[in-house]
Amino acid sequence: MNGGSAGRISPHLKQEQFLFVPYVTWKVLVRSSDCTSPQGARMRRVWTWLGWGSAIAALWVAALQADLSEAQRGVIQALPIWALVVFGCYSLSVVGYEIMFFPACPDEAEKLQKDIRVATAYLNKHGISVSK
Amino acid sequence: MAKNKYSVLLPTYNERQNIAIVTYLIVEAFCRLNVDFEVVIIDDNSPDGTQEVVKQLQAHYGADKILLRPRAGKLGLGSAYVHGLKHTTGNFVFLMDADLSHHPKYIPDFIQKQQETGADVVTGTRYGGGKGGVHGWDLRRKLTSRGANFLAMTLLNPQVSDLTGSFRLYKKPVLEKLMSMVVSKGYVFQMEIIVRARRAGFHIEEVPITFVDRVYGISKLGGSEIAQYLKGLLFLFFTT
Repeated sequence: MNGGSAGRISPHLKQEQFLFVPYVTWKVLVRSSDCTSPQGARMRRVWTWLGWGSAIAALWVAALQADLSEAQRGVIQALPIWALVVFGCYSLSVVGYEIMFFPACPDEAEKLQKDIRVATAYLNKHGISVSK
Repeated sequence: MAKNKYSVLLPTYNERQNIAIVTYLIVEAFCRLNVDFEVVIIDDNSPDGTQEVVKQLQAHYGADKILLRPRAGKLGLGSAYVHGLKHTTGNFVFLMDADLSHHPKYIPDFIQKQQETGADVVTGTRYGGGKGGVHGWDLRRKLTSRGANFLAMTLLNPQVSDLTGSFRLYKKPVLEKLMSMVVSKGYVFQMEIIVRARRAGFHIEEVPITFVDRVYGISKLGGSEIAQYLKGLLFLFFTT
C-alpha cells in the first residue's frame, strides 16, 4: 500500500470505480444503438449523446485516478472547462465567419422586379387583376 | 415508363398582389420544361380577395392546371399542406412560398437534380452551393439566422446547409409519410421535416436558390419567436 497524497482515495474504492463507469457507459452505448421500440427510436439522439458523454467522462475519471504529478492532475481537472471555452470560441468564430461572408445576391432583387414587370404586362393583357 | 406530374402546393393568406405573378412564373417555368404540372392553391379565406384572382387565373390557364381548394380560416401551414396533398394528382410535390421570396425560375433546377440523383427530397439552400444567397437582410437578421442555424446543426446534425428553408421538392409518398410524423409549427416545422426525413433514411439532395425577403419589414423576429424556436429545437433533440 503506498502512502498517497491528500487527494487520493483508497485503492479499494478505486478498483470498483474503474469497473463501474465503463460498464454503465457500455450499457448506454448498446442501448442507444439498439433502439427498436418506437419509444427507443424517438430518443435515439439523446442516448447517443449520453453514451459518448459517459465514455468521455469515464476516461476523464480514469485519468484522474492515475499516478500523476500535481501539475498534470491540475491540467486534467481543468480539461472540461477548457473544452467548453474552446467550443465557445469555435462557435463564435464559425458564426462570425458565416456572417462576414454571408452569401448575398444583390442583383436578384432587380431581376425579380424585371420578372414582375413582364408578368404584370402579360396578366394585364389577359384581364387578370394585379392590384397594388 | 410512366410520365411524371409535378404538383405545386401554395398556401395563401392575403396574397392578392402576388398570387397572379407567382402563378405566371410557375407556369412559365414548367412550360419551358414541357412537363405535366398543376398548381394547388390553398387559401385560408383571405379577406383581400385572393380567391377572386385565383378564379381569373383558372379561367385563363384552365381549372385542371390551377386548382383552388380553400379553407374556412387561418388553420396553419402544416394542415394546409395536408389538405392540399389530398387534392394533388401528381407524383411529385413542390412546397414553396407564394410571396415571391422564392422564385419559380429554380423549379427546373430542382427537377433536374431529382432526376439525376433519384432523390426522395430536394431542398433549396440559401447558404450553400455557391450560387445561393439572400437579399434584404440586415446585420441583426443575418446574426439570428446564422446563430440559429449553427445551434440547429450542432444539436440535430441534419447534414443539409439550410434547415429552415421552405422551397422543396418531394416525392408524393415521401411527403405524405413525413406529414404524418411531423407535429411542429413555424420555422420548426421546416426543420422537423428535414430531420425526420434524415432519420427515416430518405435520400436528400440540395440545390442553391436565392431568397429575396419581402416580408421582413412586417414580421419582425421577436423574443417570443426566438423562444418558440429554442423550444422546438429541444423538442426535436429529444424526440429524433
